[in-house]
Amino acid sequence: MKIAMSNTREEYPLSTNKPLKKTLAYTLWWFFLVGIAMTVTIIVSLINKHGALAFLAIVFAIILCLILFIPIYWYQKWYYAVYFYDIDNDYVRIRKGPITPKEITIPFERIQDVYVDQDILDRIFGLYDVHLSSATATSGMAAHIDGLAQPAADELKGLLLKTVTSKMKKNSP
Amino acid sequence: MNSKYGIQRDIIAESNFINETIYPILKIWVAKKGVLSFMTYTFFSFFAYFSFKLIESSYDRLQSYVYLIPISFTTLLFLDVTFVILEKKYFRFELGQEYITIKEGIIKKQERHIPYGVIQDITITQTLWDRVFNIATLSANNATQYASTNQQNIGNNEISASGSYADFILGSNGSNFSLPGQRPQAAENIKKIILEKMKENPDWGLQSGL
Repeated sequence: MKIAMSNTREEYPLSTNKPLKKTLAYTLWWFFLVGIAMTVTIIVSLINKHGALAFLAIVFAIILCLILFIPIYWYQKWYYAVYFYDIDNDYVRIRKGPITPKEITIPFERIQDVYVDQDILDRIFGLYDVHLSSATATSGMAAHIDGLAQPAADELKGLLLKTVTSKMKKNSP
Repeated sequence: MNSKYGIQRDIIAESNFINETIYPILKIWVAKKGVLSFMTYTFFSFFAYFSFKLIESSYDRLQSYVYLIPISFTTLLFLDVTFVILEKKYFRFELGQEYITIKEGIIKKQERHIPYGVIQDITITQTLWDRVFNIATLSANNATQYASTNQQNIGNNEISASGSYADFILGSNGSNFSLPGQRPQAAENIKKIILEKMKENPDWGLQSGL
């Protein structure tokens, strides 16, 4: 798949662990849903003394999760490939979503907040998410660059803060 | 002379005249809304019909009213499409020097002026159906996104996966500006013009909170 490269992505690349982490996150969710359905099936089977049916349910659940892993991973690779972010002197532009793309453009003067976070899977895979937001709810949901390794995340955060600060100084009376 | 975005300066200078005649909401947007309404009402019609059939005792009693399903289907679809056509017809916008002017409303008329200084960010979104019809929605968002709950926003029947309503409302929502039914390249052009205008009209009272 062709990577949606920009100068910023070249300089602060996404980690190659990102698709795997996202795949695991979604697969675990499916495991949870399938697990509930299968547990109910197994309990009902055992109550009705259909041990073979309970065994079949377990096998089916495992196969289903393995089958789901493949399209989820493929989709996440695609998502990773089209993930575009670019920072120039005036704006931050982030576009993601291979099927239903959403692009957000934020002028540096409107950035209200820059922060970095990690969820539990990010910690396992050594990934960091750099969030920036303007005063809108949309930006809180759309304006983040997730799946960076630590050096890239630190440098990107530094660049954003430095640029915002310089813009503030330049424009203050 | 070209700006950094490759837009001709003279176009930006004359952007007082950039309005719905230059970037109209495409008819394909009306078609998309019609198709979505058709699918929704088809689903509910089948649902109603089979619900009647499943409850056999009720079916005997209600079967003489089954004809109401296609009548309701046709009426609702007709009203929906008419509404969207009128909504499009009465929608006007203009990218002025200092603010965006929006005129909208079929019965209840509204005219809004959104200063460029209060715009916080700009999004371009494509839903699955937008991809099918090759159109996009541009939204210029400000901090009062959900403030205007008392407004009647016709056409507000689509909600994005993120839960944001603003992307799909035609016209204004609070002080937001939402323009659906544009070709992706046209949406990109409008975005660039608004960004240039934002740069020309800064409002430092709303600058970074850092």
